[in-house]
Amino acid sequence: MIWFIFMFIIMLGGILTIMIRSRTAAREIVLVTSLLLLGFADWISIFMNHKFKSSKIIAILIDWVGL
Amino acid sequence: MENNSMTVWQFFVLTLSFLAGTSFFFLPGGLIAVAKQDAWMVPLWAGAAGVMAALIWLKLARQHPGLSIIQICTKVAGKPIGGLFAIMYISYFIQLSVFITRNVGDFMKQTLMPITPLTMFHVMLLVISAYAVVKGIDTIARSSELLFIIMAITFVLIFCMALVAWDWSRFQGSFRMNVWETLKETRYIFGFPFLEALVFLMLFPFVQSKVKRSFILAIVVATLLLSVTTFFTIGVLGVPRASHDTYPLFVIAQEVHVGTFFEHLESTIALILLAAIFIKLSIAYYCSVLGLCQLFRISSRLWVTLALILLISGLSLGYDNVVENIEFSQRYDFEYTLLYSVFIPCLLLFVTWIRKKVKRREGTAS
Repeated sequence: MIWFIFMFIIMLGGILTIMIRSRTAAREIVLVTSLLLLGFADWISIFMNHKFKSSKIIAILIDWVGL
Repeated sequence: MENNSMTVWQFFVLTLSFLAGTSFFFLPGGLIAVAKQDAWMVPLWAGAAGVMAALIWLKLARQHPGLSIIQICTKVAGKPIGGLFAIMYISYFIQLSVFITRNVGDFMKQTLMPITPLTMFHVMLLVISAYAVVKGIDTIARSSELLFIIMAITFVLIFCMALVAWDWSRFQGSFRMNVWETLKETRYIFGFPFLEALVFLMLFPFVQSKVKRSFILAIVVATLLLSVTTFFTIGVLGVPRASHDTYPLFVIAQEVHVGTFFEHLESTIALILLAAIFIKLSIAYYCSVLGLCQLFRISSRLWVTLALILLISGLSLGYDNVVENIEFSQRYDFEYTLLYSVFIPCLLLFVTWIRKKVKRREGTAS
């Protein structure tokens, strides 16, 4: 997990540097960072043995609606 | 420079590969387990429902020419509610990519490489698809055009070779199914693959002409192919064997041998499945990226595509095993897809109709 966090920080830093240097629009930087952080959170949940199950949430919602 | 258009043939091949490509492998076993000897009829009514849903999507697309479903949502329902619908569609495309990615992982781990970690399959396929997505829809369409011919020839060859094991007596006991029960238990076939074709609402603006004809024709051909494959699986493997295998077509390929020269064709069929999954994943992935780019008005797809690899590969590990994946598909896939493929498009059509009527009335009043 330590290696994953380390690699992620390097990757995020690299991507942000390239995007800022190439004068990318702010909303693109925010969107990419949000997606990366979401992915990072998901992977951390896997490493912590508390997997985020998107299918389970969909199933709960469908059951809740009563379909 | 990207060429943002597709020919009618490319669109037809893309639709057919999307619909038939992976369902060949994943559907027949489950259908035969429920409907026994009559399982070949199930794709026919599901295909008919698919054509009806396609007519709704085409009507919606015709009301808003040149716009994708994301743009239609924001145009028709306004920024707050339309934006919410658009985010829901993007999440659906991402979830579809997750589902497809997981399918390839399960298949490879179960059949060919049991020791390799799932993530390896997921990340490798996602990187290739991401490259295709960055290159654009034209590249995906051209590669599917090439792969489609190879896939079709291999399928026909394997079918011909497997016909040696054909036995008509395996159809004894046909036409005895309870239609309503079968319809209820096999309802997931409406969702996977027919209603999933709603992703093409993102791609209609790229097609130069004859969208309706090629789209409907692709659905009809996919329906017939799926029905023929199920019929073929029953005739070659029989109901008891086919219903106990997760991938019956793979078992058929495993048992094909002509003399001692043509043997173990299962790796060939695995390659065909990988090609089919590549096309399907590329389309779903492209739609997610394009949706995000259109919603947030971003011109470059590169960074969004790369960022999504991390998210999709993580989410695809959200299933504990293949059984959980199949159970979700059988229990919830239809209901989940129905919302995006029928409810929201009908709602958007209704709002468009009301808006047009109000505008016409205002025009006549002034």
